[in-house]
Amino acid sequence: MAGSLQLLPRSFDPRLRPWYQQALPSPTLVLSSVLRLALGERLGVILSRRLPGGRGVVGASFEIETLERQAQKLDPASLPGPDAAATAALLAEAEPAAGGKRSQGTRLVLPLWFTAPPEEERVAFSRTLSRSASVALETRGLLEARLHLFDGFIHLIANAIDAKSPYTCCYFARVPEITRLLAEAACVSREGPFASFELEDEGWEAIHVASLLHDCGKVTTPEHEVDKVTKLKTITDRIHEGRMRFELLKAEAASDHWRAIAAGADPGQTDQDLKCRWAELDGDFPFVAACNLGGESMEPDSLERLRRIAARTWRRTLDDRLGLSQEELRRRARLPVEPLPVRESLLADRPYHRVERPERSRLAADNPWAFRLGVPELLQIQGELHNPSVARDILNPEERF
Amino acid sequence: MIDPQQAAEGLDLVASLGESCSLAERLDRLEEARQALDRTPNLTAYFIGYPDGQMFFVALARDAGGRPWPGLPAAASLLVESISVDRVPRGCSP
Repeated sequence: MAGSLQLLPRSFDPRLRPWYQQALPSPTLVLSSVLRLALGERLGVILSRRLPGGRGVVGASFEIETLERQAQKLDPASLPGPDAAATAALLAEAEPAAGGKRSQGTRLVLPLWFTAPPEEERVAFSRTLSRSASVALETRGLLEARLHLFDGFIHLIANAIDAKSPYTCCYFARVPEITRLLAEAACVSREGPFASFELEDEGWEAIHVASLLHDCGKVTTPEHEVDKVTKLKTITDRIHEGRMRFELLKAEAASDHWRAIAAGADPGQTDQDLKCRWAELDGDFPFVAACNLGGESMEPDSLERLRRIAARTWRRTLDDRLGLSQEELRRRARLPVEPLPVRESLLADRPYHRVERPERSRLAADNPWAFRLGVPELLQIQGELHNPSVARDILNPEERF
Repeated sequence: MIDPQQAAEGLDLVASLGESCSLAERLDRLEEARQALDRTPNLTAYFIGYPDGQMFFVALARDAGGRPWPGLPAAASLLVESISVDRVPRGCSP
């Protein structure tokens, strides 16, 4: 008979649950600390074990209340005799937590198995032992909770980067999974370079953390660099500015055409000149736009054509320092103010396109992490000619760093 | 009480669900999950988390006190919940 009871939220992912993550690297059964079960949202524990062949993890859940109820009914006399090996268990309650209040979350299940007749003294001893052990278990639980907290921070960082960069399509969810699969394949390999490769628990943990944090620097990387999809992209794609300059050149050509006619030039000839100039501009802009996309490597003849196009000039009649931020004004101050109007290159690398690297972003040679990285001298180079000239890919060395 | 031997045997029975490639195959093997649940009366549920994010969950339709879980018909005997993804599980043919 069918019913409708949905326990698990749509976003539920078993791979993120402690019972799955703890069992995966363990060769034996794993007993979780006390948690809230999906079914009935009651407190319980989960016994789990990984499946062979990387097929996942199988788990079983037990309600604390049920175990506790049975423990209260436990009669030492009913415990099995010497011929019944490894069958009975006791439920040990944790000592009250600090402050004298018992927390439901710290109540622990401690199974003890008897292989001999449990005399009354032995049962009492076992209870005392189990209470001591339960404190140790609770301590272990606290340590595990700290690890889970640490793990939570790691996932927070990874998820923040995924949220920051929607174009990477859950990159930080896929990398740990792919890394784990590669590590598993390396472990089972019995020939080649990984023939003797094995991982202990610490190694698995290190791989898991590293796979989540390998790109954590993106947290502080500007979004326009994380998501850079074209060479001229900063916060906006400056191809728009380039296109407007092409439009301006076409308008200048039209203006020159009408001026020539007004001055008595042959209309047929100037019309021909105008069509030639427009045809050149109409052919050059798609080339610049294609360079911006970075789909193909920039060959020497392409670079030469780009430089030739960039050398065209347009007439600027307005002050280009108005309305700028203090930071950009400071960079522009490297150039003297030129009297207007001024002819400017269609695409140019200017001193203010070079953003200095702050000292805090440099890596000392004797850094405590012993990192040996070639740190680019500048933080960013936003040159209008430099960026589209990047030979391969989209990022220049400064952005790649 | 948690009897580890009993629990391990139960997990072994349910582990066969890990070899199933589709929800239909997992449902075909429900009987094994039911046997495991019957053999471990203290247990609330069995479940498998798959490496591609799928999940298969089986529980008795009644709690330890014999009461049906809210939302289930009184005649239900098993509670099954599945999370599936549109991918071919590891080790399965497309």
